[in-house]
Amino acid sequence: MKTTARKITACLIALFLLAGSGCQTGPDTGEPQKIAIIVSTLNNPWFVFLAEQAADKVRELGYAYRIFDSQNNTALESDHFENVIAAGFSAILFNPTDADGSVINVRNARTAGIPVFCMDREINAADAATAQILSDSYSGSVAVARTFVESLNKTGKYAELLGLVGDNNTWSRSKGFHSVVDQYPGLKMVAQQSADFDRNKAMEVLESILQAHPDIEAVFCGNDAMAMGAYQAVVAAGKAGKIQLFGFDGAADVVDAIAAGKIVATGMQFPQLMAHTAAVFAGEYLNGRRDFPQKIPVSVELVKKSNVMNYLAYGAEPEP
Amino acid sequence: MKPVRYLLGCVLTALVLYHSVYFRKLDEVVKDGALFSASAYARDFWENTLPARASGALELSALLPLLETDKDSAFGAYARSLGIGNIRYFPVKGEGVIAAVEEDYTRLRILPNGRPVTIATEYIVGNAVRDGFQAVNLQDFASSTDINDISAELNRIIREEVLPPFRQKAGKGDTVSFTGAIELNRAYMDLQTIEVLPVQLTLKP
Repeated sequence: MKTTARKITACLIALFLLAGSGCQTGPDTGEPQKIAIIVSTLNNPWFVFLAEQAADKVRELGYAYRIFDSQNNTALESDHFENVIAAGFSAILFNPTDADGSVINVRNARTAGIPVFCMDREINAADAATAQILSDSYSGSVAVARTFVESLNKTGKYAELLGLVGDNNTWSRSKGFHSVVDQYPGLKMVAQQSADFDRNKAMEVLESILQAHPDIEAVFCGNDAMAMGAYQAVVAAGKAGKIQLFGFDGAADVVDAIAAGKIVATGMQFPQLMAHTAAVFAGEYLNGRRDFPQKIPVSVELVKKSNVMNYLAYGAEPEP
Repeated sequence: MKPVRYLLGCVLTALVLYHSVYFRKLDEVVKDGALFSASAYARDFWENTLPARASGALELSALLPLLETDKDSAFGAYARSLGIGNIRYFPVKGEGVIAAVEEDYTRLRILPNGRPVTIATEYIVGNAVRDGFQAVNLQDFASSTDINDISAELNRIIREEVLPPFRQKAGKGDTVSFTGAIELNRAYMDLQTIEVLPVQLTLKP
Protein backbone atom coordinates (compact mmCIF):
# COMPACT_ATOMS: atom_id res chain seq x y z
CA MET A 1 0.00 0.00 0.00
CA LYS A 2 2.77 2.44 0.93
CA THR A 3 4.67 1.51 -2.24
CA THR A 4 1.59 2.23 -4.30
CA ALA A 5 1.15 5.55 -2.56
CA ARG A 6 4.79 6.46 -3.23
CA LYS A 7 4.47 5.53 -6.89
CA ILE A 8 1.32 7.64 -7.24
CA THR A 9 3.06 10.50 -5.45
CA ALA A 10 6.08 10.28 -7.76
CA CYS A 11 3.83 10.33 -10.82
CA LEU A 12 1.94 13.30 -9.42
CA ILE A 13 5.11 15.23 -8.72
CA ALA A 14 6.33 14.57 -12.25
CA LEU A 15 3.03 15.77 -13.61
CA PHE A 16 3.02 18.85 -11.44
CA LEU A 17 6.46 19.90 -12.53
CA LEU A 18 5.18 19.83 -16.08
CA ALA A 19 1.95 21.63 -15.24
CA GLY A 20 1.20 25.15 -16.36
CA SER A 21 0.48 25.27 -20.05
CA GLY A 22 -2.66 26.78 -21.55
CA CYS A 23 -3.45 28.75 -18.41
CA GLN A 24 -5.62 31.66 -17.33
CA THR A 25 -3.48 34.78 -17.21
CA GLY A 26 -3.40 37.54 -14.62
CA PRO A 27 -5.07 40.83 -15.46
CA ASP A 28 -1.89 42.91 -15.51
CA THR A 29 1.07 40.66 -15.97
CA GLY A 30 0.06 38.32 -18.74
CA GLU A 31 1.57 35.59 -16.57
CA PRO A 32 -0.50 32.46 -15.98
CA GLN A 33 -2.45 32.59 -12.70
CA LYS A 34 -1.27 29.87 -10.33
CA ILE A 35 -3.24 27.98 -7.72
CA ALA A 36 -1.39 26.22 -4.89
CA ILE A 37 -2.67 22.89 -3.56
CA ILE A 38 -1.29 22.36 -0.06
CA VAL A 39 -2.10 18.91 1.35
CA SER A 40 -1.44 17.55 4.85
CA THR A 41 0.27 14.39 3.57
CA LEU A 42 0.91 12.53 0.34
CA ASN A 43 1.85 9.39 2.22
CA ASN A 44 -1.80 8.28 2.35
CA PRO A 45 -3.64 7.29 -0.84
CA TRP A 46 -6.78 9.13 0.25
CA PHE A 47 -4.98 12.47 0.34
CA VAL A 48 -3.12 11.69 -2.86
CA PHE A 49 -6.51 11.21 -4.50
CA LEU A 50 -7.74 14.51 -2.99
CA ALA A 51 -4.72 16.38 -4.36
CA GLU A 52 -4.97 14.67 -7.73
CA GLN A 53 -8.64 15.58 -8.08
CA ALA A 54 -7.97 19.20 -7.11
CA ALA A 55 -5.15 19.37 -9.65
CA ASP A 56 -7.34 17.87 -12.39
CA LYS A 57 -10.06 20.44 -11.82
CA VAL A 58 -7.65 23.38 -11.58
CA ARG A 59 -6.06 22.30 -14.86
CA GLU A 60 -9.49 21.90 -16.45
CA LEU A 61 -10.37 25.45 -15.38
CA GLY A 62 -7.23 26.68 -17.13
CA TYR A 63 -4.98 27.62 -14.23
CA ALA A 64 -1.43 26.58 -13.47
CA TYR A 65 -0.92 24.73 -10.22
CA ARG A 66 1.58 23.17 -7.91
CA ILE A 67 1.08 20.65 -5.12
CA PHE A 68 2.81 20.97 -1.77
CA ASP A 69 3.10 18.06 0.67
CA SER A 70 3.09 19.19 4.32
CA GLN A 71 4.07 15.69 5.53
CA ASN A 72 1.76 16.15 8.53
CA ASN A 73 4.17 18.81 9.78
CA THR A 74 2.81 22.27 10.63
CA ALA A 75 6.28 23.85 10.36
CA LEU A 76 6.65 22.53 6.81
CA GLU A 77 3.13 23.72 6.07
CA SER A 78 4.11 27.24 7.23
CA ASP A 79 7.11 27.16 4.90
CA HIS A 80 4.81 26.21 2.02
CA PHE A 81 2.52 29.14 2.79
CA GLU A 82 5.47 31.55 2.91
CA ASN A 83 6.71 30.27 -0.44
CA VAL A 84 3.25 30.39 -1.99
CA ILE A 85 2.74 33.98 -0.83
CA ALA A 86 6.19 35.03 -2.04
CA ALA A 87 5.76 33.29 -5.39
CA GLY A 88 2.57 35.20 -6.18
CA PHE A 89 0.05 32.34 -6.27
CA SER A 90 -3.49 33.61 -6.77
CA ALA A 91 -5.37 31.12 -4.56
CA ILE A 92 -4.75 28.18 -2.24
CA LEU A 93 -6.66 24.90 -2.04
CA PHE A 94 -5.78 23.72 1.42
CA ASN A 95 -6.01 20.50 3.37
CA PRO A 96 -4.86 21.57 6.86
CA THR A 97 -2.44 19.64 9.02
CA ASP A 98 -3.75 20.95 12.33
CA ALA A 99 -7.10 22.57 13.11
CA ASP A 100 -5.48 25.13 15.41
CA GLY A 101 -1.90 25.26 14.16
CA SER A 102 -2.93 25.93 10.56
CA VAL A 103 -5.03 29.00 11.36
CA ILE A 104 -2.06 31.38 11.37
CA ASN A 105 -1.02 30.21 7.91
CA VAL A 106 -4.47 30.87 6.51
CA ARG A 107 -4.54 34.30 8.16
CA ASN A 108 -1.15 35.16 6.64
CA ALA A 109 -2.41 34.23 3.20
CA ARG A 110 -5.54 36.28 3.74
CA THR A 111 -3.46 39.28 4.81
CA ALA A 112 -1.50 38.86 1.59
CA GLY A 113 -4.79 38.94 -0.34
CA ILE A 114 -4.75 35.25 -1.27
CA PRO A 115 -8.03 33.35 -0.81
CA VAL A 116 -7.81 29.98 0.93
CA PHE A 117 -10.33 27.18 0.38
CA CYS A 118 -10.09 24.38 2.94
CA MET A 119 -10.79 20.83 1.80
CA ASP A 120 -11.98 17.98 4.04
CA ARG A 121 -10.43 19.17 7.30
CA GLU A 122 -11.53 22.33 9.04
CA ILE A 123 -9.55 25.00 10.83
CA ASN A 124 -10.75 26.37 14.14
CA ALA A 125 -11.53 29.86 12.88
CA ALA A 126 -14.58 31.14 11.07
CA ASP A 127 -13.00 34.33 9.72
CA ALA A 128 -9.77 33.16 8.15
CA ALA A 129 -10.50 30.88 5.18
CA THR A 130 -12.63 32.11 2.28
CA ALA A 131 -14.64 28.88 2.50
CA GLN A 132 -14.27 25.43 4.04
CA ILE A 133 -15.64 22.40 2.20
CA LEU A 134 -15.73 19.69 4.85
CA SER A 135 -16.67 16.05 5.12
CA ASP A 136 -19.58 15.71 7.54
CA SER A 137 -17.65 13.21 9.64
CA TYR A 138 -19.98 13.43 12.62
CA SER A 139 -23.10 12.53 10.64
CA GLY A 140 -21.24 9.83 8.71
CA SER A 141 -20.21 8.22 11.97
CA VAL A 142 -23.78 8.41 13.23
CA ALA A 143 -24.82 6.31 10.21
CA VAL A 144 -21.99 3.81 10.78
CA ALA A 145 -22.90 3.65 14.47
CA ARG A 146 -26.48 2.72 13.73
CA THR A 147 -25.30 -0.22 11.62
CA PHE A 148 -22.89 -1.09 14.44
CA VAL A 149 -25.76 -1.24 16.95
CA GLU A 150 -27.95 -3.26 14.60
CA SER A 151 -25.15 -5.71 13.73
CA LEU A 152 -24.35 -6.34 17.39
CA ASN A 153 -28.04 -6.56 18.27
CA LYS A 154 -27.50 -3.84 20.91
CA THR A 155 -25.18 -5.86 23.15
CA GLY A 156 -21.52 -6.81 23.31
CA LYS A 157 -18.04 -5.63 24.18
CA TYR A 158 -16.14 -3.53 21.68
CA ALA A 159 -12.99 -1.49 21.15
CA GLU A 160 -12.45 1.83 19.40
CA LEU A 161 -9.33 2.83 17.46
CA LEU A 162 -8.96 6.61 17.31
CA GLY A 163 -7.05 8.60 14.70
CA LEU A 164 -4.58 11.41 15.35
CA VAL A 165 -5.65 13.01 18.61
CA GLY A 166 -4.91 16.54 17.31
CA ASP A 167 -7.18 16.20 14.29
CA ASN A 168 -10.77 17.45 14.52
CA ASN A 169 -11.96 14.57 12.32
CA THR A 170 -10.80 12.07 14.92
CA TRP A 171 -13.14 13.53 17.50
CA SER A 172 -16.00 14.31 15.12
CA ARG A 173 -16.07 10.65 14.13
CA SER A 174 -15.74 9.40 17.69
CA LYS A 175 -18.37 11.80 18.97
CA GLY A 176 -20.82 10.94 16.20
CA PHE A 177 -20.29 7.24 16.85
CA HIS A 178 -20.81 7.54 20.60
CA SER A 179 -23.86 9.80 20.19
CA VAL A 180 -25.65 6.65 19.02
CA VAL A 181 -23.81 3.73 20.62
CA ASP A 182 -23.81 5.22 24.12
CA GLN A 183 -27.61 5.08 24.15
CA TYR A 184 -27.28 1.31 24.52
CA PRO A 185 -26.03 0.21 27.93
CA GLY A 186 -25.58 -3.33 26.63
CA LEU A 187 -22.73 -2.13 24.41
CA LYS A 188 -19.58 -1.84 26.51
CA MET A 189 -16.41 -0.18 25.24
CA VAL A 190 -13.51 -2.04 26.89
CA ALA A 191 -10.67 -0.22 25.12
CA GLN A 192 -10.21 3.08 23.28
CA GLN A 193 -6.75 3.81 21.90
CA SER A 194 -5.20 5.98 19.23
CA ALA A 195 -3.52 4.31 16.26
CA ASP A 196 -2.85 7.63 14.47
CA PHE A 197 -4.86 6.70 11.35
CA ASP A 198 -2.03 4.25 10.57
CA ARG A 199 -2.56 0.70 9.35
CA ASN A 200 0.49 -0.90 10.96
CA LYS A 201 -0.04 0.88 14.24
CA ALA A 202 -3.69 -0.21 14.26
CA MET A 203 -2.61 -3.82 13.85
CA GLU A 204 -0.20 -3.56 16.78
CA VAL A 205 -2.69 -1.72 19.00
CA LEU A 206 -5.48 -4.20 18.34
CA GLU A 207 -3.18 -7.17 18.89
CA SER A 208 -2.45 -5.87 22.35
CA ILE A 209 -6.13 -5.09 23.00
CA LEU A 210 -7.07 -8.63 21.98
CA GLN A 211 -4.63 -10.06 24.50
CA ALA A 212 -6.34 -8.15 27.30
CA HIS A 213 -9.88 -8.49 25.94
CA PRO A 214 -10.18 -11.64 23.82
CA ASP A 215 -13.97 -11.48 24.08
CA ILE A 216 -14.59 -8.27 22.12
CA GLU A 217 -17.14 -8.63 19.35
CA ALA A 218 -16.51 -5.48 17.33
CA VAL A 219 -14.03 -2.69 16.60
CA PHE A 220 -14.90 0.80 15.40
CA CYS A 221 -11.96 2.36 13.54
CA GLY A 222 -11.71 6.09 12.82
CA ASN A 223 -10.46 5.45 9.30
CA ASP A 224 -10.17 2.66 6.77
CA ALA A 225 -6.40 2.26 7.02
CA MET A 226 -6.88 1.36 10.68
CA ALA A 227 -9.78 -0.93 9.78
CA MET A 228 -7.48 -2.88 7.45
CA GLY A 229 -4.81 -3.03 10.16
CA ALA A 230 -7.45 -4.24 12.60
CA TYR A 231 -8.49 -6.91 10.12
CA GLN A 232 -4.89 -8.18 9.94
CA ALA A 233 -4.79 -8.40 13.74
CA VAL A 234 -8.11 -10.23 13.84
CA VAL A 235 -6.91 -12.76 11.23
CA ALA A 236 -3.63 -13.25 13.09
CA ALA A 237 -5.60 -13.97 16.27
CA GLY A 238 -7.70 -16.55 14.45
CA LYS A 239 -10.86 -14.53 14.98
CA ALA A 240 -11.77 -13.66 11.39
CA GLY A 241 -15.54 -13.61 11.08
CA LYS A 242 -15.98 -13.47 14.85
CA ILE A 243 -15.10 -9.82 15.37
CA GLN A 244 -17.04 -7.25 13.36
CA LEU A 245 -15.00 -4.36 11.94
CA PHE A 246 -16.16 -0.89 10.95
CA GLY A 247 -14.15 1.82 9.19
CA PHE A 248 -14.44 5.31 7.77
CA ASP A 249 -13.22 6.82 4.46
CA GLY A 250 -14.25 4.59 1.58
CA ALA A 251 -10.73 3.43 0.66
CA ALA A 252 -10.30 0.93 -2.17
CA ASP A 253 -9.25 -2.04 -0.04
CA VAL A 254 -12.10 -1.53 2.42
CA VAL A 255 -14.70 -1.30 -0.34
CA ASP A 256 -13.35 -4.66 -1.57
CA ALA A 257 -13.29 -6.03 1.99
CA ILE A 258 -16.94 -5.06 2.53
CA ALA A 259 -17.91 -6.85 -0.67
CA ALA A 260 -15.97 -9.91 0.56
CA GLY A 261 -17.64 -9.79 3.98
CA LYS A 262 -14.42 -9.03 5.87
CA ILE A 263 -15.49 -5.59 7.07
CA VAL A 264 -19.08 -4.71 7.93
CA ALA A 265 -19.36 -1.05 6.95
CA THR A 266 -17.59 2.23 6.32
CA GLY A 267 -18.49 5.88 5.89
CA MET A 268 -17.84 6.87 2.28
CA GLN A 269 -16.31 10.30 1.91
CA PHE A 270 -16.18 12.20 -1.36
CA PRO A 271 -12.75 13.77 -1.88
CA GLN A 272 -13.48 14.29 -5.56
CA LEU A 273 -16.53 16.42 -4.78
CA MET A 274 -14.67 18.40 -2.14
CA ALA A 275 -11.64 19.02 -4.34
CA HIS A 276 -13.69 19.98 -7.37
CA THR A 277 -15.89 22.34 -5.34
CA ALA A 278 -12.82 24.03 -3.84
CA ALA A 279 -11.23 24.44 -7.27
CA VAL A 280 -14.42 25.84 -8.79
CA PHE A 281 -14.75 28.27 -5.87
CA ALA A 282 -11.17 29.43 -6.40
CA GLY A 283 -11.88 30.04 -10.08
CA GLU A 284 -15.05 31.96 -9.23
CA TYR A 285 -13.14 34.03 -6.68
CA LEU A 286 -10.56 34.96 -9.28
CA ASN A 287 -13.43 36.01 -11.53
CA GLY A 288 -14.90 38.34 -8.93
CA ARG A 289 -17.23 36.31 -6.72
CA ARG A 290 -16.92 37.11 -3.02
CA ASP A 291 -20.04 35.71 -1.30
CA PHE A 292 -18.91 32.24 -0.24
CA PRO A 293 -20.47 30.30 2.63
CA GLN A 294 -17.87 29.80 5.36
CA LYS A 295 -18.55 26.09 5.87
CA ILE A 296 -20.11 23.60 3.50
CA PRO A 297 -20.65 20.10 4.87
CA VAL A 298 -20.30 17.30 2.35
CA SER A 299 -22.49 14.32 3.15
CA VAL A 300 -20.87 10.99 4.03
CA GLU A 301 -22.68 7.84 2.90
CA LEU A 302 -22.94 4.51 4.67
CA VAL A 303 -21.48 1.63 2.65
CA LYS A 304 -22.30 -1.93 3.69
CA LYS A 305 -22.63 -5.25 1.94
CA SER A 306 -26.17 -4.55 0.71
CA ASN A 307 -25.18 -1.41 -1.22
CA VAL A 308 -21.42 -1.74 -1.81
CA MET A 309 -21.99 -2.46 -5.49
CA ASN A 310 -23.00 1.20 -5.92
CA TYR A 311 -19.62 2.57 -4.85
CA LEU A 312 -16.16 3.00 -6.27
CA ALA A 313 -13.19 3.66 -4.01
CA TYR A 314 -13.06 7.20 -2.56
CA GLY A 315 -16.61 7.81 -3.78
CA ALA A 316 -15.27 8.51 -7.26
CA GLU A 317 -17.71 9.12 -10.08
CA PRO A 318 -17.71 6.28 -12.61
CA GLU A 319 -15.96 7.13 -15.88
CA PRO A 320 -18.53 8.26 -18.47
CA MET B 1 -3.48 63.81 55.72
CA LYS B 2 -2.06 60.33 55.31
CA PRO B 3 -5.09 58.48 56.75
CA VAL B 4 -7.36 60.40 54.37
CA ARG B 5 -5.17 59.36 51.39
CA TYR B 6 -5.18 55.76 52.56
CA LEU B 7 -8.94 55.87 52.99
CA LEU B 8 -9.43 57.34 49.51
CA GLY B 9 -7.05 54.75 48.09
CA CYS B 10 -8.96 51.96 49.77
CA VAL B 11 -12.30 53.28 48.52
CA LEU B 12 -10.97 53.62 44.96
CA THR B 13 -9.47 50.12 45.07
CA ALA B 14 -12.73 48.70 46.40
CA LEU B 15 -14.68 50.47 43.64
CA VAL B 16 -12.36 49.16 40.92
CA LEU B 17 -12.54 45.62 42.30
CA TYR B 18 -16.32 45.79 42.70
CA HIS B 19 -16.78 46.75 39.06
CA SER B 20 -14.18 44.30 37.77
CA VAL B 21 -15.78 41.13 39.06
CA TYR B 22 -19.39 40.09 38.76
CA PHE B 23 -21.35 36.87 38.90
CA ARG B 24 -24.25 35.78 36.67
CA LYS B 25 -26.24 32.60 36.52
CA LEU B 26 -25.17 30.33 33.68
CA ASP B 27 -28.70 30.08 32.29
CA GLU B 28 -28.84 33.89 32.04
CA VAL B 29 -25.63 33.90 30.03
CA VAL B 30 -27.05 31.22 27.75
CA LYS B 31 -30.26 33.19 27.39
CA ASP B 32 -28.31 36.26 26.30
CA GLY B 33 -26.58 34.24 23.62
CA ALA B 34 -23.15 34.49 25.20
CA LEU B 35 -22.96 30.68 25.22
CA PHE B 36 -24.77 28.59 22.70
CA SER B 37 -27.20 26.02 24.07
CA ALA B 38 -28.25 23.44 21.49
CA SER B 39 -30.92 22.21 23.84
CA ALA B 40 -32.48 25.68 24.22
CA TYR B 41 -32.22 26.27 20.48
CA ALA B 42 -33.87 22.92 19.68
CA ARG B 43 -36.64 23.52 22.23
CA ASP B 44 -37.36 26.98 20.83
CA PHE B 45 -37.46 25.59 17.28
CA TRP B 46 -39.64 22.67 18.35
CA GLU B 47 -42.22 24.87 20.06
CA ASN B 48 -42.25 28.02 17.96
CA THR B 49 -41.20 27.19 14.41
CA LEU B 50 -41.75 23.49 13.78
CA PRO B 51 -45.59 23.48 14.06
CA ALA B 52 -46.00 25.82 11.08
CA ARG B 53 -43.37 23.99 9.04
CA ALA B 54 -44.90 20.62 9.90
CA SER B 55 -48.27 21.73 8.57
CA GLY B 56 -46.58 22.58 5.28
CA ALA B 57 -44.96 19.14 4.93
CA LEU B 58 -45.50 17.18 1.71
CA GLU B 59 -48.10 14.44 1.44
CA LEU B 60 -45.98 11.29 1.35
CA SER B 61 -48.57 9.48 -0.74
CA ALA B 62 -48.12 12.11 -3.44
CA LEU B 63 -44.35 12.48 -3.10
CA LEU B 64 -43.53 8.81 -3.66
CA PRO B 65 -45.09 8.55 -7.14
CA LEU B 66 -43.46 11.84 -8.10
CA LEU B 67 -40.05 10.50 -7.03
CA GLU B 68 -40.65 7.48 -9.23
CA THR B 69 -41.74 9.37 -12.30
CA ASP B 70 -39.67 12.56 -12.10
CA LYS B 71 -36.95 12.18 -9.53
CA ASP B 72 -34.96 15.24 -10.59
CA SER B 73 -37.96 17.56 -10.31
CA ALA B 74 -38.93 16.11 -6.93
CA PHE B 75 -35.43 16.58 -5.54
CA GLY B 76 -35.10 20.00 -7.14
CA ALA B 77 -38.36 21.28 -5.71
CA TYR B 78 -38.61 19.64 -2.31
CA ALA B 79 -35.32 18.12 -1.13
CA ARG B 80 -33.40 19.92 1.57
CA SER B 81 -29.94 19.66 3.02
CA LEU B 82 -27.44 21.87 4.78
CA GLY B 83 -24.56 20.76 2.61
CA ILE B 84 -23.69 19.19 -0.70
CA GLY B 85 -23.65 15.54 -1.73
CA ASN B 86 -26.27 12.90 -2.40
CA ILE B 87 -28.04 12.77 0.97
CA ARG B 88 -31.23 14.83 0.96
CA TYR B 89 -34.22 15.20 3.28
CA PHE B 90 -37.94 15.74 2.74
CA PRO B 91 -40.53 16.93 5.26
CA VAL B 92 -43.52 14.61 4.88
CA LYS B 93 -46.92 13.88 6.38
CA GLY B 94 -49.70 11.41 5.82
CA GLU B 95 -51.97 8.82 7.27
CA GLY B 96 -51.61 5.08 7.37
CA VAL B 97 -52.80 1.83 8.85
CA ILE B 98 -50.39 -0.03 11.11
CA ALA B 99 -49.40 -3.34 9.52
CA ALA B 100 -46.99 -4.45 12.24
CA VAL B 101 -45.43 -3.17 15.45
CA GLU B 102 -41.83 -4.39 15.70
CA GLU B 103 -39.04 -3.74 18.17
CA ASP B 104 -37.40 -0.98 16.11
CA TYR B 105 -40.13 0.10 13.70
CA THR B 106 -43.81 0.43 13.17
CA ARG B 107 -44.75 -0.70 9.67
CA LEU B 108 -47.51 1.23 7.91
CA ARG B 109 -49.54 1.01 4.75
CA ILE B 110 -50.09 4.62 3.87
CA LEU B 111 -53.45 5.86 2.70
CA PRO B 112 -54.83 5.98 0.13
CA ASN B 113 -52.45 3.89 -2.00
CA GLY B 114 -51.31 1.33 0.56
CA ARG B 115 -47.59 1.79 -0.04
CA PRO B 116 -45.39 0.36 2.72
CA VAL B 117 -43.31 2.73 4.87
CA THR B 118 -41.88 2.46 8.35
CA ILE B 119 -42.07 4.85 11.26
CA ALA B 120 -38.76 4.78 13.14
CA THR B 121 -39.35 4.07 16.81
CA GLU B 122 -35.85 3.03 17.91
CA TYR B 123 -33.10 4.60 15.80
CA ILE B 124 -33.91 8.29 16.02
CA VAL B 125 -30.59 9.49 14.66
CA GLY B 126 -29.21 11.66 11.87
CA ASN B 127 -30.15 15.00 10.41
CA ALA B 128 -33.49 14.28 8.75
CA VAL B 129 -35.54 16.40 11.15
CA ARG B 130 -33.01 19.23 11.48
CA ASP B 131 -32.49 19.59 7.74
CA GLY B 132 -35.89 18.43 6.50
CA PHE B 133 -37.62 21.14 8.50
CA GLN B 134 -34.79 23.64 8.00
CA ALA B 135 -34.03 24.19 11.66
CA VAL B 136 -30.64 25.68 10.90
CA ASN B 137 -29.26 28.38 8.66
CA LEU B 138 -25.66 27.33 8.09
CA GLN B 139 -24.44 30.92 7.91
CA ASP B 140 -25.63 31.58 11.48
CA PHE B 141 -23.22 29.03 12.97
CA ALA B 142 -19.46 29.14 13.13
CA SER B 143 -19.17 25.81 14.94
CA SER B 144 -19.93 22.43 13.37
CA THR B 145 -20.37 21.04 16.87
CA ASP B 146 -23.31 23.37 17.54
CA ILE B 147 -25.03 22.24 14.35
CA ASN B 148 -24.49 18.57 15.19
CA ASP B 149 -25.74 19.10 18.72
CA ILE B 150 -28.98 20.63 17.42
CA SER B 151 -29.70 17.40 15.52
CA ALA B 152 -28.97 15.34 18.62
CA GLU B 153 -31.29 17.52 20.74
CA LEU B 154 -34.17 17.42 18.25
CA ASN B 155 -33.80 13.63 18.09
CA ARG B 156 -33.77 13.47 21.87
CA ILE B 157 -37.08 15.37 22.05
CA ILE B 158 -38.59 12.83 19.65
CA ARG B 159 -37.31 9.89 21.68
CA GLU B 160 -38.51 11.31 24.98
CA GLU B 161 -41.75 13.07 24.04
CA VAL B 162 -43.14 11.84 20.73
CA LEU B 163 -42.48 8.11 20.88
CA PRO B 164 -43.41 6.94 24.41
CA PRO B 165 -47.17 7.66 24.18
CA PHE B 166 -47.29 6.24 20.65
CA ARG B 167 -45.44 3.05 21.56
CA GLN B 168 -47.69 2.53 24.53
CA LYS B 169 -50.90 2.50 22.52
CA ALA B 170 -50.10 1.67 18.89
CA GLY B 171 -51.32 -1.69 17.66
CA LYS B 172 -51.84 -3.54 14.42
CA GLY B 173 -54.81 -2.19 12.47
CA ASP B 174 -54.76 1.25 14.11
CA THR B 175 -54.85 4.30 11.89
CA VAL B 176 -52.10 6.83 12.54
CA SER B 177 -51.60 10.35 11.31
CA PHE B 178 -47.90 11.23 11.04
CA THR B 179 -45.60 14.13 10.24
CA GLY B 180 -41.87 13.70 10.00
CA ALA B 181 -38.86 13.70 7.73
CA ILE B 182 -37.31 11.12 5.43
CA GLU B 183 -33.77 10.73 4.09
CA LEU B 184 -33.08 9.74 0.52
CA ASN B 185 -29.88 9.25 -1.43
CA ARG B 186 -30.26 11.12 -4.69
CA ALA B 187 -27.86 8.85 -6.56
CA TYR B 188 -29.10 5.53 -5.18
CA MET B 189 -32.72 6.12 -4.27
CA ASP B 190 -34.49 3.22 -2.58
CA LEU B 191 -38.22 3.78 -2.18
CA GLN B 192 -38.78 0.29 -0.73
CA THR B 193 -37.15 1.19 2.59
CA ILE B 194 -38.66 4.60 3.36
CA GLU B 195 -38.28 5.39 7.04
CA VAL B 196 -40.03 8.37 8.61
CA LEU B 197 -38.47 10.07 11.63
CA PRO B 198 -41.65 11.33 13.27
CA VAL B 199 -42.17 14.74 14.87
CA GLN B 200 -45.92 14.21 15.31
CA LEU B 201 -47.82 10.93 15.71
CA THR B 202 -51.54 10.79 16.38
CA LEU B 203 -53.50 7.59 16.71
CA LYS B 204 -56.99 7.95 15.33
CA PRO B 205 -59.92 6.50 17.22
